[in-house]
Amino acid sequence: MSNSNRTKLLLDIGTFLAFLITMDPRFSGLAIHEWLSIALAGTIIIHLLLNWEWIVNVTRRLFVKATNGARINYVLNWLLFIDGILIMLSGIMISESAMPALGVTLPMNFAWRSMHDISANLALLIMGLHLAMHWNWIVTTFKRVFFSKVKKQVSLSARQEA
Amino acid sequence: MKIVFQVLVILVIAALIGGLMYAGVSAAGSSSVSSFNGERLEQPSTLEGREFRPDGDHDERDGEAGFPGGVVKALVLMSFAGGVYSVAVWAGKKAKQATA
Repeated sequence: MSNSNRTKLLLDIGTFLAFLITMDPRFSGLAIHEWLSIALAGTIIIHLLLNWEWIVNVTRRLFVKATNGARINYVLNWLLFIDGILIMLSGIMISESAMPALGVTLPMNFAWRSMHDISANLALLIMGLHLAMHWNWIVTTFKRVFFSKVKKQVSLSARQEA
Repeated sequence: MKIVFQVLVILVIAALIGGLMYAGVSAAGSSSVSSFNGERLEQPSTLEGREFRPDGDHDERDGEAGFPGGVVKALVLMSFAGGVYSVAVWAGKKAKQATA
């Protein structure tokens, strides 16, 4: 089990949980919703950095010899990235907690509000597809990270008993 | 140094996309600033300030712990999309097997 995969999985789990919390501002409160979303932008950048090699490789061979699955995955990732930017931008534009706290005053515009809602709902659908496409990796890495140690300990104790 | 470059690439692309979106919204003429511009900071709890969130989610600012309906909705929508994808992949495999 490489450290890289472990780091990726742990970061992804944290990002996913934070994403879920930000999807319910009524539950978390507006301040947590906004600050957590800003923090999420940072974790998404790290997520992209950790997968940089894949991004560069698929970009290079997108029109040459990439598989259809890789192409769909690539386009989907771009859609998610663009939608994420739209969520962040519209969120910043309608911010009532984080931006005022930073001393930034922005003009109000109802269009940003509806864009924030639509892009957030769209992100859920794209995120569902993104997770489905990587489901095998998630399950395999999850098992390796969280259950391989337990397996080793069980077999070790079984040997000691024998 | 390499990481700094990569971060810069991500930020520049994000800024370009964000800039295009901002320009699009502004150009669409929907950027007309409402009459209560500037009041948000001074009177965030007034009715005028709250009306900016038209669908009534202004109560969320208190973060009262209740039923996390938004989280459930998120999980349902994501599961739906993932389910549709899985069915499509399964159907594709079945079709391939049938033709082979």
